[in-house]
Amino acid sequence: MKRLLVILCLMAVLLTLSPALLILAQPSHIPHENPAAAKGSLDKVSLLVSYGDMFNRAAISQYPDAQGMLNELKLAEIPTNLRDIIYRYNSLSGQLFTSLDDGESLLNEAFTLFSHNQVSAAIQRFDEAEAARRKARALLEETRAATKDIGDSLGVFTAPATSQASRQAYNRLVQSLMQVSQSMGLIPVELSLSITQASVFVGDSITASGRLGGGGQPLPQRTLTLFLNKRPFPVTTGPDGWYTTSITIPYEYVSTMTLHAEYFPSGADINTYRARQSPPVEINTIFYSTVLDVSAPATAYPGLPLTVSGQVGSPGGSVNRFARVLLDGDQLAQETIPAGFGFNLTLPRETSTGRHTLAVAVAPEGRYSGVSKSLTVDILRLAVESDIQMSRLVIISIGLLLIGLVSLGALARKRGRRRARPWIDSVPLPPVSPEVRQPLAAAPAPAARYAFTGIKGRILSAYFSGVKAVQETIAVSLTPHTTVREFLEAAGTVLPVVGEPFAELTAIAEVALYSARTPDEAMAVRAEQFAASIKEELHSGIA
Amino acid sequence: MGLRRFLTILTVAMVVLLAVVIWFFPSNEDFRTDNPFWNGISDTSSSYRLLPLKSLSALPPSPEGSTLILIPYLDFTSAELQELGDFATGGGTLILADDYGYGNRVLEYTGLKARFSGQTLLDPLANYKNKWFPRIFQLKSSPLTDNVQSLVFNHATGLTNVEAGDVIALSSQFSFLDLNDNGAWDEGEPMGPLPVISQHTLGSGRLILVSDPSLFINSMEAMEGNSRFIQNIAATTPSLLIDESHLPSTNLRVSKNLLSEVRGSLVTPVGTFGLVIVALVIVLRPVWRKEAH
Repeated sequence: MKRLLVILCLMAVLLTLSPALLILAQPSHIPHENPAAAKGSLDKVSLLVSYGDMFNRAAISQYPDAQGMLNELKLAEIPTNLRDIIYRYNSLSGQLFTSLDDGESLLNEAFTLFSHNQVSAAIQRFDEAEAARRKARALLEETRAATKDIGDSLGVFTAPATSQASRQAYNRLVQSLMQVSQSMGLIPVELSLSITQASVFVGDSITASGRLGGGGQPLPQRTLTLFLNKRPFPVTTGPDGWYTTSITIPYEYVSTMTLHAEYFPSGADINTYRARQSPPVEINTIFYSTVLDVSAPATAYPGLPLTVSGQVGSPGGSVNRFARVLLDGDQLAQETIPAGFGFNLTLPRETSTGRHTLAVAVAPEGRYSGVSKSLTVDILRLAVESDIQMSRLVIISIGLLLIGLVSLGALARKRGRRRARPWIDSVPLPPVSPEVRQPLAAAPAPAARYAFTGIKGRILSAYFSGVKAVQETIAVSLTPHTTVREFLEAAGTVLPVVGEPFAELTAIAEVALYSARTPDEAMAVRAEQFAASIKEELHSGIA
Repeated sequence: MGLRRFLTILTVAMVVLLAVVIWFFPSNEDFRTDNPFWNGISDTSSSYRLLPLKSLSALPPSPEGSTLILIPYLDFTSAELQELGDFATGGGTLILADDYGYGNRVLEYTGLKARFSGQTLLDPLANYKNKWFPRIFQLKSSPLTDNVQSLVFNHATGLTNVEAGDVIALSSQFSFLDLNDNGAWDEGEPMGPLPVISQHTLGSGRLILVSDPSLFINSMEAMEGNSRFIQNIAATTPSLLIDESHLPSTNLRVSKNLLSEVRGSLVTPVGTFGLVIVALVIVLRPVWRKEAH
């Protein structure tokens, strides 16, 4: 038995410790993983797509960009079994871009020399450009073959269920190579871009201009597109190949925007000129940042007021701003606010308790950026405190009277006032009027509804019979909100002859109702005697 | 020996055994200086004499020349934010390394526009093993990146609203912020290059944002240029501090702290006296019983 206990205890200890052992290999809370245990995986689709993007840039003569992309691709994590083929592919691509770039530069030089009537030098440049182009064609053929090898190695042509995306990426890469091939037989294009000012406020305009030319000649009446970040602005060149346009800076509150121009040949130009993208131009966009300070209580209560206040301002001066107050993304209020603001809100009664996010969002306004600030607020339900006073036994004519106070507890105390509501109700009999005092009025004598037992029962029965006799005589009622003492005063005023015995009877009844002292047989007998005496006096007609 | 007595002794022995194991079991919490496992920073701590702070109130009153590494996975109080602000503006260097924590609370307090994105930065190509380990090799020349060729991150995020002049390191152009956490790029998700390390001036001090605190952990510290990057940080200061008060605690640490408090109370004169009394009672109880019989 003892041995079994020892074994069980050791097992319990091991089970207790085992989660700690597991923790050795698992992160506790933060999402990172053990690199030694991480599995390597090559994203084939991303690799093929990136190569396709790279050749697309080469197709529009963006050779430096293509080379830059290639340099980054060389740093990609490639599995060992693919490293050789990828290395060869990268090497071929780099040589291709270099040859294409050299060929284009030489061609442009040739056109320039030709336009200056330096024919012999121009011819020499044309010959050199042609040699570079032949080299580029050979490299392109090798690159096409290597592309197919890569497709085989990556399994693009097998396992159709999983290679749908990789097949599409591969086809796109092949298409990009075709575009490079097509562009090699076309005349290179020059496209320039400049702007009037490097810094501008959002909402203001700048003038962008540049020239489009090909083969040393201007290209008039050509449509090209300026892109400000990704917003397009079409423009047409003039007779001299120059273009100019006004661009309004959108109300986007970022520190810089990039503008570049793109020309894609159309119509007869498709088989003549290459596509071209201008070098990008950076525009410093200026705006007034908005600063927002918000304060709100750390706790709030559904159905109760809540004040959210703060300050909103900007270096450019203060203007009225449109703001919204949100609770977990749901709007509570909105209005146009001055620099110092205050929202007086009432949380919806159905708001759930717990931690919530209260946010104030100020909308952007012209040169003034927008801003939002979030706070954490705990929404609680108030505990209701009740203080009920009730006698141990109550004589009633109609109902059981409960008098008490209901307060809002801590909140009321915190706010420096006891906001208590008098609560008067009857259980389980019909409810009574909440008014404390009413003029005593004649009412029919109610029948006793309870059977009193024991000494107390005898005392209260005697009291009740005395009350009934008084009520029948002087039409004064013991209503539910009247105390026995008040009834005594009223009855004694009207019936002085029964004042003394009724006072004694009332005193005994009070002892039975409220006193901690247990009434005895003698008190019951006295109460019955007083009740009989009162009835005799009143029925004999002496009062 | 009666069964009851045996159970009592066994229970006491088990409790003592558990206490011993908990006491000597190494910490396994992320970013703790006493954690020797892959997710701790004991290696960095021992190599560069990192001083852990249990509270931000222990920050030096004169912060000039001091550097604090802050990895905030718990929220800040207003007083703590003020202490951090005083530290950074008073001449200290605050290295705020965050990915999915409360770093933006500090940034809001300082009034900077830069923010931690909070979304995972994935790089399907320029990475170590897989896209959750992006490789960072676009590094601007600065004392922090001196002799650093590349960095490797581990489940990192990116920085937003960083001025171009403040950027120190960018992710590759293949990287993106995975806004919907599906592991793939979708239309509208920001693509690289994205800022991942930036430097900002605050008063007479500076604030450096690093969008992945994992490069400090033991398993990442020796990867590629991470070690050199940390070395460059340590080289700029004689006092390298790390805040541990905003790292979540596991049950193991809570238990260790409790045992430490118990030990602390036992080594006091009163505690030692009480322990002696208890030991005497246990030892002499059989003797008293025998005498009573």
